[in-house]
Amino acid sequence: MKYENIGFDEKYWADKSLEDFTKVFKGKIRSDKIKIAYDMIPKVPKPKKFKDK
Amino acid sequence: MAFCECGTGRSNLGVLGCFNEFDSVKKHISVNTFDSQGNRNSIELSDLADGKLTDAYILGKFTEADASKRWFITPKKYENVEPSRTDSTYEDFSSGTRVKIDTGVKAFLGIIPKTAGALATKMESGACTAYGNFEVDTNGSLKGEMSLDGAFLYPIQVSSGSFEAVEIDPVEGTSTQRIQISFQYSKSVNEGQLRIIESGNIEVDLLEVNGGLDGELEATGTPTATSFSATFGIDSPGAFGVVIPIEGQVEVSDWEVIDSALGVVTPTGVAEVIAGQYDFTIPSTPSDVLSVTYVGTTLSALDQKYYSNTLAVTTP
Repeated sequence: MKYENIGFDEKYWADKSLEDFTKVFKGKIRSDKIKIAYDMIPKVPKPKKFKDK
Repeated sequence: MAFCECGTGRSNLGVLGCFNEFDSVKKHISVNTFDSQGNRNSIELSDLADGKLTDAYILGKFTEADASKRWFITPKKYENVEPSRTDSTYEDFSSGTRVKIDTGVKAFLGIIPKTAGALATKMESGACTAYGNFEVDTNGSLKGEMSLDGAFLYPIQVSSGSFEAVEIDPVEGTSTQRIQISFQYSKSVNEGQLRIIESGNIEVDLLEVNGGLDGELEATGTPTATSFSATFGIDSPGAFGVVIPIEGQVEVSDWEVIDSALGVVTPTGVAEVIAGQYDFTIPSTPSDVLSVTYVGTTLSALDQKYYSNTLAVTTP
């Protein structure tokens, strides 16, 4: 998967945070586009927590 | 070359009202006569899909991993093509009669204008192997030599040692820089078996296909356990010290990174920070030597295919 001038391993990034993603690509893509690129990656759904009874 | 058959040699000489005409040659697709397994390279009749050569089939031939099976196409169209034939040889007797000893062979002469001499060198480098050419004409039709059983179309065998590609300097006010190609076809070519696949039955316009380009990967910057950088470009074929960057190759799957234990290290990201310079991020791989190769694929034979050297990157 690629966006603008970066390509990324979507499987690797599927369960990573925006902060992790930003650390790697900061300075390599315009800051306002980092979140756009991150949002393109299909994310692993977070496990639902059981509600306390 | 045809052989005279005694007794029953005469044939019916009727012709059909139309025939599949082959125009002047504009490109050659050269391919080794035999692949590395010893099989003769060809287009098999069964390779045609509904009578057509598909884009996928042609792409597969142009990007074949085994170079002994790969098709290599000349990059630009030939001009001033002069097909000819060497003189047949005869023995002349005192009585005045003459008997033919040998039939002359077909020869080719053509130029590729506005091309640097580096291409001539590359073309010469493959000329010492046994190889043949599929010819591509003005219309994009492809010509080869059909096997006697009609099941295979072989590249037309080039006479070993006859190939020459040389640079011709421009003449002021008259001609541009060019390279001149000349060779003879082999005596073993059975000209009665030459057949074409018409351009209408070829999914790709072969006249628009460029050959593969050899890119050069070079390390830049200082590698870390989680990153390294490389430039990817092509040495200009005509200019000293000029590298033409290969841009836009940021798909992670276009790059193969192998560690010293032959494990695949999939880059987590590839960023083109300036034209032709790529920053790679990788899972932490300290104190290792990584082998980095560009392995990008193309979707059509018309797309530009790049190849690269393998770059060794030592991580701290």
